[in-house]
Amino acid sequence: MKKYFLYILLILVLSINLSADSLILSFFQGSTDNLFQNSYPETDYVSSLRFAADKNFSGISIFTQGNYSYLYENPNLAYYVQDLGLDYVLPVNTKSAFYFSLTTRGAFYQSDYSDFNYTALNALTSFKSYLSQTSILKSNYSLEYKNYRYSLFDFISHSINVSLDKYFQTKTTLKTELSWGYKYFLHPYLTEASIPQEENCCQEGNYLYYGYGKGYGKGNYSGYRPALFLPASQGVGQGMQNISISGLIAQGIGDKVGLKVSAQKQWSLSGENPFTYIEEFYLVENPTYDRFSWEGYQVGSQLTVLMPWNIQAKLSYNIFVKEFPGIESLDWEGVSLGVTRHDKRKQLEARVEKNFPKFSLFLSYSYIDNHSNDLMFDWSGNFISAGVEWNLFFGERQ
Amino acid sequence: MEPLFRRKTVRVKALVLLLFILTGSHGIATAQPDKHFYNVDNEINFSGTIKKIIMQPIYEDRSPFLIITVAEKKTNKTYTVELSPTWFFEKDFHQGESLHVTGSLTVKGEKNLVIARMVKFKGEMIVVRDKHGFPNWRGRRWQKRRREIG
Repeated sequence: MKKYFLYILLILVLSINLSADSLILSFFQGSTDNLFQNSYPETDYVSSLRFAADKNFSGISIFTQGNYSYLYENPNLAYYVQDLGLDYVLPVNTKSAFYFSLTTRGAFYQSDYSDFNYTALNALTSFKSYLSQTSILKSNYSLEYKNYRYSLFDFISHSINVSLDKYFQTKTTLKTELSWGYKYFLHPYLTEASIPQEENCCQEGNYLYYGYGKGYGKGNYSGYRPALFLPASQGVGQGMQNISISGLIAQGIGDKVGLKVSAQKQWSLSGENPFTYIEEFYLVENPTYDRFSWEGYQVGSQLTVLMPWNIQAKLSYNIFVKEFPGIESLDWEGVSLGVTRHDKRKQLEARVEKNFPKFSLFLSYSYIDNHSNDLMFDWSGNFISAGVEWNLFFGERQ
Repeated sequence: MEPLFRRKTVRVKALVLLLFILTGSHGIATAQPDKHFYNVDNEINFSGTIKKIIMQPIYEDRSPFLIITVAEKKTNKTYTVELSPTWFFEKDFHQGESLHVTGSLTVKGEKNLVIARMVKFKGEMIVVRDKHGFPNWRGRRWQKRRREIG
């Protein structure tokens, strides 16, 4: 903790001495009654401290941000993430522009979760163009490379999105988006070198057994589950490819109320997850779960209202139906039930936000009800968070 | 071994020093008199409808800005509203959409130029600058990146 404090202090002072254009400090406090998002609910509280700064050099911006998160009941899951990058906007004409960015990231977890540690590189190219005054075309290409301490997670991915919208005089906006993605696990097979030598790790038969945190491993429930990767032959099952199409209808009601209804359908084109099961943690990135890991659909709605005293309120309700290719539902002992894992999730979210001249405050609540044919992931949970963001500006006022 | 109360005192001093540096540095933020800048004394409010949207370079060595032409609802008077660098907005504006603008008015010839500070749009309040006119978009590029790849 002391070490991180000193790092943050050093970065802050350097940011100022290097005449950063701006500095943003924020504090976030979250709480949940189901940190590991499974049928063994565990309460925890997360405190996060973040800073972000940027500096402009002849149109190129250098930006950095750091985030330290501490979990009170699971301090071994505390982590620090540092980003450093640069970006540039290239105008084509008065209606179109390119945006380029290159970002490096380092994520560092405490003890038990240090296998999640990674360094990453992301390159992003975006293009936005007004086809007409009522229609916008946008496209993105993203390349991402992640190198984990536990090298079985290492991957490189490509993503392309193209969207087109059209605004009608009825104050209705229609938008459609097509996305394609490919994720390639660089070496999802077991080798002597790839197996971390830790106390909570052992190999048995064809699986690598692993225990994470207080809610995982042999201690807290009967039996335990094989985790991480199924051993694969080199070159087999390394790539996952999916495609999705989504649509959105947005309706403005005056300038104080907005309503959105959206839907997305995603298909897996090739490849399967190389894990034995997939898990998500509240506010903590888990390498087994991301947008490549599922196929299915989601539908959602969102109401946005600007209330008196300029308080913004958002209320949304979403339903997700997901199947995880390559992931079989398991029983309590970790034995396969012979069916692919299938989840149906209902998610209600409410958020209020108030912006003051120098800082902004927010409060949010969400409730998730997740039904799964894998009983381990048949769960529900409440998530409450609050935060404050403080903006500091340096240099000239434009 | 160093006494506990002493270590705490050192930390408190470091924090006080940090806050002093931050607060002091904030004081150096100044406007350049010869440049186009936000004048809080000329702040106006109006509701209107978007007539035109363009991306245009305004400041030297800076990203192009999103500029919208807005016709005020009551008077049909036309304002050219300077919003922010184009990358800041994931909100997409279209011709015909209504919005409420708070900003600083500068009259240049026959052009009513408004540097926006706050925009109310589709039930959201987008704060472009603070009440002194300091840009609110700075330091936020990483957020855009995360949203786009997330």
